[in-house]
Amino acid sequence: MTKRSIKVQSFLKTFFGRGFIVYAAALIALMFILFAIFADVLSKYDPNEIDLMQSLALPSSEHIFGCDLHGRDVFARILYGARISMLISVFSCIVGAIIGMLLGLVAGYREGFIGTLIMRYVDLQLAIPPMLFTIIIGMLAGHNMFGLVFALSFGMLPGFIRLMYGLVLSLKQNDYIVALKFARIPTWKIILGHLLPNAFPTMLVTFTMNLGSTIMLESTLSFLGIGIQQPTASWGSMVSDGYSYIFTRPFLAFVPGICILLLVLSFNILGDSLRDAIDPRLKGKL
Amino acid sequence: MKKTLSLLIALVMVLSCFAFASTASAEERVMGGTVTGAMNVDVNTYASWRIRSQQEKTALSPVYETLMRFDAEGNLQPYLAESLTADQANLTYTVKLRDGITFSDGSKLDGDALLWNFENFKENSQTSATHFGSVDHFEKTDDLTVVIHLKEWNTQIPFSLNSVAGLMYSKKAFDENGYDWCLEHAVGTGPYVMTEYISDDHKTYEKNPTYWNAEAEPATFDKITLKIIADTMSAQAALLSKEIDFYLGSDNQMKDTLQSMGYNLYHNKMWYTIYFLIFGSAVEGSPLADVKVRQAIAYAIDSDAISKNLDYGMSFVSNQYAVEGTPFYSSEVKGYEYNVEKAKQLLAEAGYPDGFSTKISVGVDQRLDRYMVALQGYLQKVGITVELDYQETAIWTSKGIYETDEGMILAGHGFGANLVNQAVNNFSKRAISGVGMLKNSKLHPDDLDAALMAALSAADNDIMLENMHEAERLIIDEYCLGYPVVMGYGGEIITQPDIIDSGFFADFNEMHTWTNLYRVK
Repeated sequence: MTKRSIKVQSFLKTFFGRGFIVYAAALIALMFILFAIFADVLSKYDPNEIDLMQSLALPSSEHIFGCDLHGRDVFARILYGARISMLISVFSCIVGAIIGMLLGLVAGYREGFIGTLIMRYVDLQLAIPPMLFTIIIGMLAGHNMFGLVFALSFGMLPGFIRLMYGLVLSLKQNDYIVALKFARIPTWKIILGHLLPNAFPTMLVTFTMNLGSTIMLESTLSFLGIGIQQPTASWGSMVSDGYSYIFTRPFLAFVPGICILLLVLSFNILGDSLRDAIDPRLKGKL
Repeated sequence: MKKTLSLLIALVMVLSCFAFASTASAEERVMGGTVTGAMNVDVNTYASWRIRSQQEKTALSPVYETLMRFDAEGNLQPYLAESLTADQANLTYTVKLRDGITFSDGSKLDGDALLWNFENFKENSQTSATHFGSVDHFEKTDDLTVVIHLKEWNTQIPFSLNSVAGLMYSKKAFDENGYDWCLEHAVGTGPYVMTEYISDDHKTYEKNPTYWNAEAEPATFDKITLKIIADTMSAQAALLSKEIDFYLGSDNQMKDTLQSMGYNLYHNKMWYTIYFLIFGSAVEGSPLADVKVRQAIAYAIDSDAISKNLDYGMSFVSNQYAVEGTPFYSSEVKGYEYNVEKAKQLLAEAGYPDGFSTKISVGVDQRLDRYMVALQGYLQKVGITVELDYQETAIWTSKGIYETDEGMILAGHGFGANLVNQAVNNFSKRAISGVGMLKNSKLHPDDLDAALMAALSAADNDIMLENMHEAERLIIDEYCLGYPVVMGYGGEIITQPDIIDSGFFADFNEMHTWTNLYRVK
């Protein structure tokens, strides 16, 4: 057995160390990812096509989760909604993480005026309630996918910046970084070649854990009518639309609601496990 | 055997007596006590001349009364007025007041108060052009009489005096407190006095101890509390828990659910709400400038399915800007039956075989989302991609509904006895300088303007209707300026099973008669 395969084995052992719950979370997350990728294949209905004759149809063999008020197949909308929710979540986290990490790196490495400026901006944004901030940015950016990604990624910037800033402040005190500076290695090489790779595992864990909360936030915004607009399916707007029928057609709100619950829970559990596997010392700290 | 039969018959008779007695008892009106209602939206004003919305009409009807009122058979009768005399030759209407009517502040409703009310309405009301657009001036001729002098004959004045233009506010209160105070304080002649209001929370009314008509129309409750419950689910829960006795503003799903549980649903017999899709037909270069495109859109929408499935059958379909069964309805209008193939054919003839993109604007508080999504879906089927543009309430009511510069708007508005006024307001050339929907981007053809103005100034009812029918044909068939998606009832409340409406909402009047709402044992 090679050293590498031992390392992988050890990683997987720690990752799945919590047992059944992690397997279940991985399975659920994988299932939703497959739903999102193969939505076109899995559903024979167009998620946006209205058929008022099927309005509020109960679950049946034709429509396994029934139909909404406009006769749109709920299962199809769940599948396509998974795609939207995950795309928005992943893109928002990627954009937020990249910008946040870069700003955190610069602030932590350079400190001085630029560092102060960046960190005071972080303080300023943190002084505004995150939901309110995201709603305002979302409304300004427009009711579309780009606007939503922009708002969500903007909202998570302070988290990434502060974490990266702290890590860089700590890492740059290490002897090997000091030595690199004395050796007149270009700054960009130190940042990209040494600081970033060392900070990356921690950032990856934060990224994963943010996936769940971003899906939640996207759903909340869509529930409030600020997110993705009709006719595009989104889990949050499906809960919002189905909520009026809670007494007569509870499945309209419960099905997308349960999907949100399962996916958010899965990402959070996987994030926790990833943290344990990458750096057990971080357990309970992130 | 005979004895047993006799005993059985006697038993049946005794039981029947009990049954009848219990029916009589069940319908016994309870006088006094408190009734608690709720509405979905609060009022924006308390001054009679600023009233516009259904909620304002409901919340302020306990306090204000109109000069004219429809009786139980739907005939317009003087109410605060003793008589209304029309003189077409001299272009005047003479209003003579009943003697002895007082406002809740003790002042008298006399010629001075009436003259001030008319002049104030003409000067300060947002609906002045609709009701008093043809008025030249007012003249007080004696202590109880005011003459309305017109610039041109207007058949709609009696109906306007049944509407907000006929509401009376205390001149004394105005003189003593000023204009701004009046905007926040209701002082009328009605059976109740408003004793407390907290914005967006509740209002309280108590019996007017000096009500002039207490003998004929006594207040049925000692106290009214009117709450604001914006969310229909919360309102439904409040009705189910008996926290409130009635609710104004429920959606069709809630009405359907509660009606099936024995709650009462009442609606106005004269007033309807039309949900009208109005086209930006005068925008140069827009596909909607072509009448064939507008007709294609009308053919592409299945209003029957919308009414049946989205509104639970609680709305209905009309092929024109009037309701079947009312005098304004024209059987000559063909309208547009749902026909996707015809829609596609018209689009191809207009040069848009692959459709085009446009938008539908609507006020965000209009609760028309169900229609918007359906319209978007239907138009997608003929290749028209629609962006749904939800405008903030303040922007929509002050600007959007009148000045949206492209695409379509979906607007719900009420009409009833004053349909001619509404049509003139929206479709004549007068709409451009007034408050017509899409006034700047909608066509205002000469022949339509002529027909509407002829209806407004008609010498008699027949001529008015003849012109109105022609206007209907022009609006729908000839120019297709808009498409009536569905019609709903103008005012609807849902009440607890023991709350009876014998002419509160369920009558012909625009303002509501609170003395016709009561509780039964």
